[in-house]
Amino acid sequence: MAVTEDQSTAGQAPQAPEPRRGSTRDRILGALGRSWLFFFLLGLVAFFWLTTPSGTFLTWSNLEQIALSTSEVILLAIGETFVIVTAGIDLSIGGILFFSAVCGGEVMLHLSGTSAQTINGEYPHSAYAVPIGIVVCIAAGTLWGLVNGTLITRLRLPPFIVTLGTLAITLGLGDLIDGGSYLPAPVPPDLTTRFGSGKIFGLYAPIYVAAVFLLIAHLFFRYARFGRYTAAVGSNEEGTRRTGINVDRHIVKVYALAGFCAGVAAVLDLAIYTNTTSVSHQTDNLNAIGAVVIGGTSLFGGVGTIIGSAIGAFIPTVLQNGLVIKDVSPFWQEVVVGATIILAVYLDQLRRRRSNN
Amino acid sequence: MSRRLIVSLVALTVVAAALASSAALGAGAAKAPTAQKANYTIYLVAGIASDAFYLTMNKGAQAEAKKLGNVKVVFTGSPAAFSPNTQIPYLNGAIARKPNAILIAPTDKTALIAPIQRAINAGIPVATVDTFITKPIAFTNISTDNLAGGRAAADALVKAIGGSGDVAAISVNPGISTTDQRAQGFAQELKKYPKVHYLGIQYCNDDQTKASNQTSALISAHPNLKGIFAMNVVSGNGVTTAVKAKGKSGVVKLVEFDAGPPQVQALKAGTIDALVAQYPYGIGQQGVFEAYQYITGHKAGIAKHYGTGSAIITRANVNNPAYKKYLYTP
Repeated sequence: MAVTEDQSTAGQAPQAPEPRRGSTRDRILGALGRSWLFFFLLGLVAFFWLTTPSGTFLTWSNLEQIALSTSEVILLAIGETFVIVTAGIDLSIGGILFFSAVCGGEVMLHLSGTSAQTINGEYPHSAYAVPIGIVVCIAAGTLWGLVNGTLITRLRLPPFIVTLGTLAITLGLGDLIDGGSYLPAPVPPDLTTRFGSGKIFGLYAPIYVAAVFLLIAHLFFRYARFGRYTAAVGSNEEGTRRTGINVDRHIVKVYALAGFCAGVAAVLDLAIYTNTTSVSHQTDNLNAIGAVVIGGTSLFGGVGTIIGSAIGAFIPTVLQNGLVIKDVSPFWQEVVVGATIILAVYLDQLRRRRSNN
Repeated sequence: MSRRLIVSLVALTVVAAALASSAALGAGAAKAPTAQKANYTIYLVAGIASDAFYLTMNKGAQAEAKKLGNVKVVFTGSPAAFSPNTQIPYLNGAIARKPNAILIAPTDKTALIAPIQRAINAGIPVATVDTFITKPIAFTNISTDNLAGGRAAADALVKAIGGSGDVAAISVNPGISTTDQRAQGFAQELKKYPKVHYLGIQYCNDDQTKASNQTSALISAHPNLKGIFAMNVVSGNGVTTAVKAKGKSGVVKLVEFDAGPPQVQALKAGTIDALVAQYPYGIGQQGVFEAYQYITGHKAGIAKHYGTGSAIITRANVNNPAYKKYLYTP
């Protein structure tokens, strides 16, 4: 954060310095100011609760469905947050997700049985095919993340360009592998029924996966060295390099992490939707980046919040769900979601400027 | 000072969100059913909301609702893409509203099975329109007989090329039930014409440029190519471009599926020779009708599948009022 000189008081008697140690009240209000986005989300939920017929929006099953359909975006947003905090950007996560899902899905199908069997819905060997497929998904994602990071650091090209290229490459390769349409058969029910639609203590399993990742990522980002190095690289890359930190290696690790998250998201995608196409993942990158930016992470790097990205992921999905329940035309919904995003980011910028002064 | 600002910012954003949504809504919130006669609500979840096909289907559904008198049809669906990832959140919203029935055009044969089952478990009967899912849990399916459509396309193309020559087909992706059936019907029917040689089918992945390149290659490789069957709008656009670029307009005849406004214009302008029009208006009408039958207790008479027809639209009959109902009117 830059130190600002207050020109207007120059020449006047020096003021008593502000107490460095924040009082409890200041700390609470500070936290409140930072978490205004959470209250914004609560405000949305309250708004929809009050303006829809009772028993429609604020029901356990409806909120659970919102959480389920947001779980994939949250995973992508986690990886994207780390990348954006380094002042980079990853446009290829949708393509990496798709490619990983295709690889993992094809492996699962080929290992589960002959093609005659799987097309008829029989998966005799799915017990070991599914775990191997999951590993393949995650490995494929991480691999592409490594490719991204290596290209960016070795070729010294802007991340925007590199990841735009790998987006096209991964989408294309994925389409090549599965013949341009769907996987030949849906993935085994061991993954879809037992996990994707499966419930643990009354909540869908994928939601737990997203929640656990969220918690671990938050702790990592805030308290682990990895997170602090990430913020350091983003706020002052050259300065960080001069303290002896291997910045290039760290950047590669960050993009690999984003690829890893995309690989896990691919597993969730197969589990929830039973199949995959490139059409479904064309705008995943914008959804993830939108979530990160709404959440309060700066596109210029150095400042970020994982929890904020999760809240940012929920705002469009809650809005969309609420507007459908209110019978709003789907075209109006797009307008409202876009306007709300601009509003949220603008207010966050205002708050930031104020608190910097 | 900053404290007050933060608090007022929070209040402002909540109010602003409320106002923005209310302003956008107009007459958004649904009213409670009136006491005199039971009002029924049916949700129509499109495959993609920005497609002339589904918008026409909605028109038919609304017309039937008006005819029945006490039915309200709500049209929803993702305007962004034809995919389960974008469609399922809209279906979830519809389920949360607990309508009396849901009509849905599933964007994937298997991905929509679990969500549709959830709707049925919640007590909402579901019918599938246009596309289908592989598990027979919907109370009925209403779709175009795509096999018959493919056959009709073959007849129309052979007629257009004068009975002999080479023909080819451009489709979207292998694995989409609708286009696969059209291709099957087309190939089957062509066997009846010994003087017509079928060069085979190519897949353009719903990419206009690819379809155009494939068509150019076909024209160069087969000088006796007389006709092409394009199985959807996107492939048709690509074929038209290539035919014009190669200077073969009028020589290579084109039959295309779907009769949206741009296709009808192209038909009248002479770049397309025949359109295979599905009957989405009829699908919408029948969907609402069957749902109404189901809701009001007449379940026994409902069949598991209704095939709606398709019509061949040519320059000769495009202005004929009998064929007007087949043209898509978004």
